[in-house]
Amino acid sequence: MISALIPTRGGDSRLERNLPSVVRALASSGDAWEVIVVDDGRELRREPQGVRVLPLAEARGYGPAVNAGAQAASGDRLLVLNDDVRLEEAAVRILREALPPEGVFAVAPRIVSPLSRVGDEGGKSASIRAGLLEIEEVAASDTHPTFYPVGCCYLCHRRSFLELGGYDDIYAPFFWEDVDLAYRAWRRGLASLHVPAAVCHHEGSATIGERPMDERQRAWHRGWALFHLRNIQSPQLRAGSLGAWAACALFDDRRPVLDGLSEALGRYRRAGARPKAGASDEEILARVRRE
Amino acid sequence: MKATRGSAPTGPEPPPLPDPLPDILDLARQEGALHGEGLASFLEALRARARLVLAERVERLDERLRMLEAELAWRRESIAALEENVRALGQQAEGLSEELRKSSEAHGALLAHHRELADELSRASGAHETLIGHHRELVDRVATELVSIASLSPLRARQARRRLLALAELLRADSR
Repeated sequence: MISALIPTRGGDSRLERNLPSVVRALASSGDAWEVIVVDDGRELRREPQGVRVLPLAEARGYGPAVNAGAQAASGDRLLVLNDDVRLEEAAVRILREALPPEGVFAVAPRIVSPLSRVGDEGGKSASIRAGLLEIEEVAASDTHPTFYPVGCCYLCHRRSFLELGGYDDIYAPFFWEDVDLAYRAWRRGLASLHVPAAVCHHEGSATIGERPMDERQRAWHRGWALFHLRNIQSPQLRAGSLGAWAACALFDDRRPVLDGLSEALGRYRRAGARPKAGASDEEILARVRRE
Repeated sequence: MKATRGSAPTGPEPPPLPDPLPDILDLARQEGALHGEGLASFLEALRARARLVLAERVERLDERLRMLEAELAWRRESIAALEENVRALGQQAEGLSEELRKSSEAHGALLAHHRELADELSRASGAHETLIGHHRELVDRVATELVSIASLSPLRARQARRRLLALAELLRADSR
């Protein structure tokens, strides 16, 4: 059974536009299904018909909302979506067929989006540049490993999601939680795959886009720094990332960047680094480096 | 206490920028990133990232400079247009001033003519009053004489005719 999880924060009109396509794609998947709309902060004005609504009294952001949905889901697979995503009818069936029982954490479709530089947000490569991990979009026509499945649309095993601990609340309310989760999966040898034959359409950060630019920039840099502090374990890469953050602290004059970096250090002091285990950073990056 | 960089805020100024550098260096020291191979990686990344950050800052400044130059050009054009407007309005004001001067002169001449006409009217009114007084007196004398003539006896017709002729002569003389 597939449980579609759609966190939303007052996204009545977005759900009205996109939910019918999700229902059609699930109905064509060849599997049983359910839709859980996670009402983050109880801001929905109308309850969508034909779906389960999971109200969360306090709005805590995308990651905690998806985690709550995953806990409540009945399916053995999770279709994680944003409320501004429209699915093509065959998308869920193709993703379902592409997700093997073992060895893969998640499969992500082609994500057609106005935000995308290459026309598809779904494929990602990663490399270290000047001490920090940088992510690039990769256009592709065949299924291939991707650094992480973008949080707006992917299919994964619920068991894997929960065993990995779901999204890390430390990134809340948004940005970098999906990268972090996939990195933990890669660490355990669970790949993420980009499946361009499945197609969805992303309106483009409709909820986050309503936030002020400074807040988004601060959250982006906070998440970026947290990702390194929490996940990078190779001593050389870790020393390099600290050197890079020192350069940012010394020479970057943008308040959101410095605020984000300071917040990341504060959150990291409370949470600490993850225990060393599994694949090395170099091995993971070699799997997702752009050829 | 949270580290900051820059001076303390005064009045409505924004708070000083946070300074995460001491925390980063503390962490780097704790993790051994400031010794041996770690230090080499730390410094290499610091240099490379500093170049990127500074290049981005220069790019932002260039962009800001381009915007300011465009704004300056726009301001110059606006000032030139305003100066042209001022010049045109100055010319218009000069024309209106000359027109006003001519109108003032014409107005003065009209006032003088008006005063002359008023004097003439005053004189004519005086003469008219004198003439009316004279005519009233004449009519009164003629009426008195006619009453007197009418009271004469028919036997004194010659006297009556003579006095009537005298009256006629009087009226004829006044009509000249």
